Amino acid sequence: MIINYDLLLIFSYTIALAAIIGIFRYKQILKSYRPFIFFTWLALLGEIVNLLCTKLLHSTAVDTNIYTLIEFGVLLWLFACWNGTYGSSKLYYYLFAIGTLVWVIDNLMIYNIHNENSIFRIFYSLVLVYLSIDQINQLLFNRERNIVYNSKFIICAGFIIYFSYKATFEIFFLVHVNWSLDFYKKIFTVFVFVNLVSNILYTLAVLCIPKKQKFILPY
Amino acid sequence: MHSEEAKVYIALLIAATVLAIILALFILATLRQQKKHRQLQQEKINAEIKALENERRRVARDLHDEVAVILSVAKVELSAIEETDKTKSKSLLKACNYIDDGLEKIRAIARDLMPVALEKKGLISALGDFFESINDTQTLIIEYDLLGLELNLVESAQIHIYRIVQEIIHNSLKYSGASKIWFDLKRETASIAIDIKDNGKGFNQAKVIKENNGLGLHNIYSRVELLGGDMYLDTDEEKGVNYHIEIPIKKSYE
Amino acid sequence: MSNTIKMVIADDHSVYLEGLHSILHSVPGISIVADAINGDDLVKKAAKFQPDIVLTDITMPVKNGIVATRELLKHNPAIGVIALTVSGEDTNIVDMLEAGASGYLLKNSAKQEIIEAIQTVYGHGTYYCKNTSRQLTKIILKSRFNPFENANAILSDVEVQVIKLICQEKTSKEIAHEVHLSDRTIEAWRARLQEKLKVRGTAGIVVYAIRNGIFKVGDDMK
Repeated sequence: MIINYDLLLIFSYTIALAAIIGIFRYKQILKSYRPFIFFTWLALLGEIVNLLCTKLLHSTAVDTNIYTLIEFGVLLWLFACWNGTYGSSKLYYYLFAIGTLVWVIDNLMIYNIHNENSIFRIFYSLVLVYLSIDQINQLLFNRERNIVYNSKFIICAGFIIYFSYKATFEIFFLVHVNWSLDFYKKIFTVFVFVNLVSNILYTLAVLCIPKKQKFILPY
Repeated sequence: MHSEEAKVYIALLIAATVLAIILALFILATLRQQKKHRQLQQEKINAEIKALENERRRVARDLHDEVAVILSVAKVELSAIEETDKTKSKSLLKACNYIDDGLEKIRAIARDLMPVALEKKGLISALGDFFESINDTQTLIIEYDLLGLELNLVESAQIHIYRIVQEIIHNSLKYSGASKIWFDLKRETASIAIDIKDNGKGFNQAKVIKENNGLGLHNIYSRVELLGGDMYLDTDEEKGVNYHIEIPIKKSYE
Repeated sequence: MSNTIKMVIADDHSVYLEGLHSILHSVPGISIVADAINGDDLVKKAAKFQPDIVLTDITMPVKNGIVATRELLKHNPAIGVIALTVSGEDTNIVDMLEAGASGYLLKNSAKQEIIEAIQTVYGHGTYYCKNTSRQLTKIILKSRFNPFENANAILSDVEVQVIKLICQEKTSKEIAHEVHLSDRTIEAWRARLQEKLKVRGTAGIVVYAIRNGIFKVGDDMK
């Protein structure tokens, strides 16, 4: 089952769709969702930089390492915007601080930044999965009528799918199982499909972002 | 790829698929539970509100039929006493006036509890009467235009909408210090849109909800929810209050 | 009025009937000949005793005051019906007027006012309770009630002006100032106008004015 590598690349760029729709809707939507739009632009930028690094430097290690830290920060910002009013945004600052620490230890101390390092990636993926599950739980417990069309639900579903696969995927690299390139290629193929699915979800989510904040009271 | 790797690869794929299916089932089950829970909560709230309205109707009727009549007769009898003594006749007059005041208060309370116009002439008339009675007190002005509006809703829906408007306006009167309220009701093809705005001092939503203050926000929200509608509240300190409520008109309401 | 005014009174609260008896029995010229406790009873007693005036509650069991009024007026259109109500905002008042009643009273009206109402209606006038609220006046205006179909009151210019000012809810003092007459004259004019228009009560003047185009709603009566 060999798939054209270029086709795979196109699938990764489907994030562009979400990013473009985001440009049009940026002004209309609720402010608390804007970090997500920002995230889609960041992701698109990340893909382009990735492509450039592949062509010019033949290694994407440095830029993906840096990209993951930035992505972590932006998504923590998103959760802080969603939960800041009722909860405390201090939690998210702490998480980012811990994350940066882990990143530094992983990329600068134990290993080299020119390697694709996995510890931080597994850490932040798990944190984001947890936050997404928590967010969906919150939605279930307020009086939301049709949760499936709720933008937050779709976004968090996308995060859960993408980041849980990413965490598992990175374990293979962490453990240094020296299997053939073919094997890794196959794993990567699945990863691209997971990426495609979550990109589609993100696009749907951007379309569903509400313009006005509905008044909701918890039970 | 070695055959062992191939085996591992296939094993991993299957494991991932199984996990995905488990996750999906879990989510479906939770969604179903949530739906059931919501329905139960709705029914409970519905029953409570029905009981409340019935009691209000009963009390209003009793006030009107029992208490008001007796007080009226008392006034009539007192007014018939011919008294030449100046101080005594002054006392009589005072007594009569107090009884009249009492009766006026009883009428106001009964009207507040259950506006008769609502049952007899429908929502629009009742709202018009309500706004006029507030405008007559001259504490603030309600601007509205109900001309030509016709709503044929089921009685329970009418009373919910009336109570929602009543509660919002009472909140404004009590807390906002506003001098003007704007009321707008639009009938659209499949829904009713209600907009109520005041120029008062507004309030901090998050704080009020946390402290579970009066403001009957809970009451308003429960009724909007019962009608299957949505409520949008735009307010902050020093910014006045702006309610936008949308209620879908289902077949069952007409 | 040298004849005694014969009256039938109706209310489902016997307490109120007793009250009416107690204050009216010593009034010369007025005699209550029968009591009724519901609308059906009222129609029967009206047919039997042929009273001049009927004083009736509006909400009664078996048959309410509105239906009863229509029926008894069918048998005897000369009867003057006065409606009794607890609430001044009762929209039933308008229904009573449309059914043929010639006036209405709040149940807590003083003895003097009750007697005034009876005498006004006996003299074929329309009686509007002194405590008529703005809201009620508006509702009456919106209804089909128009006792002025045959009214041919000829009014002088000054009288018309005074009527307009009354409609604007000006006090007697303010009116006196505007038309350059004294307070007491204005008070006397109010009474005379009411006699001319065959109404009793300020609301009556307003209703007449608006029905006959002397005053338009919107000229200060929002």
